[in-house]
This record gives sequence, structure tokens and C-alpha cells, in this order.
Amino acid sequence: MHKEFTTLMSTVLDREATAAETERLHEHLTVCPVCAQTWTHWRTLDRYLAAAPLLMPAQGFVWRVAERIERERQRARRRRWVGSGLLLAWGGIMVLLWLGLVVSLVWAFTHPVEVGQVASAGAYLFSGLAWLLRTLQSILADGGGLELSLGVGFYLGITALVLLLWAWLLLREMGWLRPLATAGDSFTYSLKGWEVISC
Amino acid sequence: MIWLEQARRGDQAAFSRLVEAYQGPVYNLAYRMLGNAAEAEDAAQETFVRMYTKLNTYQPDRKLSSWVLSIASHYCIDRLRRRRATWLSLDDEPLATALPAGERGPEEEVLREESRDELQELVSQLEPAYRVPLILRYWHDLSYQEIADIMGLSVQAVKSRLHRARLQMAQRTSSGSLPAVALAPAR
Repeated sequence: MHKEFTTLMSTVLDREATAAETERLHEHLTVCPVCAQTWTHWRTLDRYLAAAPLLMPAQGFVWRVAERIERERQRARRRRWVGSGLLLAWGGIMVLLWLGLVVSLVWAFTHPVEVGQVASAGAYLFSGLAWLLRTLQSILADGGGLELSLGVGFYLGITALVLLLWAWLLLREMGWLRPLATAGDSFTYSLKGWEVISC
Repeated sequence: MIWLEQARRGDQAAFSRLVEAYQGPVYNLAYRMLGNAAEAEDAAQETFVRMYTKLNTYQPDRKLSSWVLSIASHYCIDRLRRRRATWLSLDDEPLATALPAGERGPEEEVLREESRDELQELVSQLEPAYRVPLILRYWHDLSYQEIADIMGLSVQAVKSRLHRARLQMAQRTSSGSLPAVALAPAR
């Protein structure tokens, strides 16, 4: 099979060849049986493809697109609200923290005795924490480390599951995790460009 | 173009008319690329959503059909790249229907269905980069230049990809294995 002529076959089938190129191909086909066979096969394939129908979507496609656009707009609006809310909350917390710090400093300067009392209460709390750590250390040393580890692992696992569930709900709410078109009883979800298929 | 201008000004009805005008080509491209009716429906919808959000970026010196098909083809190629193994099979009963072609007997209908599945299987085996120009050439009757505009390639690159697509399809078929529909006259 001559590569140059198969390239020419492709151009002729695409109706992009000049008259001279087409004639050159046909001349070659009369003397090369291998290329002639390839040409017959490619022409058959060409007609096979050309006869295939143009597919149309199911009824109501325009309406479904309109609905989807509306959903995207609502999602965008919600994202803006959530974003603004988070920013506002963060700003509020920062302001409160700074205010709290300023008030504490002012109070500390004006009430030195009370500051001393607070400091000693803090030291007492710290010593209580130290006691807790010493107790934990003795439990581990006594061979109860396995039960403690299992217990801690169990609570950490439950916390992780709760966090994952919360993240899933939040992502759905924010529109980052959204259902794709349904087909029958199946549902498909996409996560920001990744596909998670479920039923 | 009037509809486009109206759609840019926020006229939903005008945009719906654009969707109606291009739903066939976009859906067909998506189906031939993805090989799955549910994904094709979603990809086609997403194409129009993107078109809607990017209306103001459309350059009038470019054909609207080229622009829309460009969005669709790039999205489908991205989707094929991201495609992961499905855990559960989706209902693959096609939502699409072929354009009406007159009365047909049940036997002929079955043959056409089988032929369509075989054809889609053949197309699906091509690499995405070769699949797009093939679909645009055969189902949308576009020239090399138009395909090049849609894909952002040179004319030579389009020619080369079409050639390779044909080579691959020819290697996977033999003349005798193509269905009788191949004897129908070309469009």
C-alpha cells in the first residue's frame, strides 16, 4: 500500500482534492491492485459513515436546558451569599477578637489585683491539665494503652465520618457536587470535574 | 444573529431558539464522542450552559455554529480524559432517536439498530483527537478549514487526523463485514 496514495484517497473522499489529484489517484488505482482494494474498502467505509443518521436528543431538551441554566444561576447566587456571609462572619469575629483584646488590656491596666487573681486561676487550671496528662501516662504504662487507643480511634473515626457527611452536604449545597442528567433509575454525580457514578 | 443579540441582552426566549436550532448538531457530536445517551444529554446541556455564560465573549467574525461545536468538542474531549471506570452500569437505552426516515418494516428497523450500535462501537474505538474531525466531517459536512477553526488546529493537522482515523477504522473492519446499509447512496 503506497502511503502517498492513501493520503490522497483521504483527500479525495473529503472532496478536498483538486481535479489533477483525483485523476492521479484513479490512474494509480488502475495499475496497483493493492491500492485499488484499499480504495474500495475506504469507499465502502465512507458510504457507511455517510449513511449514519444525525441523532437528536429526547423531547423537551430545550426546556431541560432552560431549567439547568436557571439552576446554575440560583447556585451562583447562593455561592455569592455564602461567600459574603463567610466573609462577614470572619470580619465580625476578627473585630470581636480585637475588641476583646483591647477591653482585656484596658481592664488589666485598671485592675492589677484582679489580673493577679486570674493569673493564679490559670496556673491552677494548668496544673490540673498536667495532672490529667500524668494520669494518662500512668494508664498507658499500666498496659491500658490498647483500650485507650481503641477508644480514641473509635471517637476519631466517628468524628471523621460526621465531618465527611457535613462536607458532602455543604458541597451539595454550594453546587460543587451536583447530579447529572438522570437516565431511568440511575443517578450520576459530578464533583468539580470528577465523576462519581452511583445508582 | 438577531436571536444572539437578543440573548445577549438577557432574552431567554431568544436563547431557547438558539438551543432549538443547534440541539441536533451538538447532541449528535456529544453522542458520537461519548457513546452514551445519558452522558451525551448532559454534555449537550452543559455545552449550552457554557454558551449562555460566555455569550458576551463570542466574536461575530466567527461562525456561531463553529463556536458552539467548539465548546461541545472541547468539553467532550475533557470529559473523555476525566472518565473513570464506572462502578455501576447506567441504563444505556438511548434517549436519542434518529431523524425520521419514513416507514420501515420491523426487520429493517432491527438491522438499522444493530448497524447503529456497530458504527458507534467503531467510532468509539478511535482516539478522541481523531474522533472529533471524523464526526464533524461526516455528520456535519464541514470543510477542513471549518474543522480546523473548531478544533484550533491547522488544516494540515485536520487532514492528517482524518487520514489516521480512516486508517484505524479500516484496520478494524474488512469490506465484507460492513452492514448492507453501506450500499445506500452517500449523503
